[in-house]
Amino acid sequence: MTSAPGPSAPPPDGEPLPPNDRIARQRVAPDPVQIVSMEVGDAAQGVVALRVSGELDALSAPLLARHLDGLDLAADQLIQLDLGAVSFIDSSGLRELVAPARGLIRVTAASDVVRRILEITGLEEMMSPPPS
Amino acid sequence: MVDPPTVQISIPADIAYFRAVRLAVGAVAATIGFHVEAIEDLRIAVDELSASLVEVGDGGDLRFVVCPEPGRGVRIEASVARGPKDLDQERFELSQRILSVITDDHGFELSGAFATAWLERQVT
Repeated sequence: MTSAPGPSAPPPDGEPLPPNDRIARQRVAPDPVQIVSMEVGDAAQGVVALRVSGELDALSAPLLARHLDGLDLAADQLIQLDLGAVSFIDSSGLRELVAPARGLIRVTAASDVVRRILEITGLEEMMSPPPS
Repeated sequence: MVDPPTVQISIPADIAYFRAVRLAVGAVAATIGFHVEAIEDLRIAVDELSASLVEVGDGGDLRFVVCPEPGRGVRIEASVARGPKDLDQERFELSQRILSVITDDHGFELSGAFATAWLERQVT
């Protein structure tokens, strides 16, 4: 009779994890929010598009904030956010979307929970097309 | 007389643990008859309590008492020892708007040495 191997001892400092350990740790601690893609649109149109997925809460909202701040955008820059794959959002996540001086944010796609929270808080206009 | 059952949760004052509370509250809600959308509401609601309390806490543990009434609803009370910081008013205002819709009743109080927050949600 054979038994499943037990957990292996951690490698010494500085050595990479064996592939199986890397997989296990990724499953235990997945990224809370992922910036799936970023597309900088036609410069003449001045559009930046981001696709976000995961849970947008107090833990992960600062990651989105840092990402947006890192783009160093003008206050009138149009930012198109695809939040269709966001599975959770709270007031901390929402606060980052309405933070001033971070550009003009438009939500181009919203999951059910994002749509509901935007409507509850009276921010549903973020889902409307930008003024032409 | 037998006291009604309660679920008590204590977490470090660290936003990384909010998800554990959401998970636990969602599990309790599922056992007493909440449907999927209401469970999602409760997960958001308890997260809002957590976010407010951690802002004003002293760094000590956040404590939650979940009081389920099978088939009827749930009341959640949360508290933390008061620290020197104040609420982020902009976030708190959004939080109150959310709670006013997704709960049947809720409250937040800063008094003395503790900050407390609570919510109620019926099953229907």
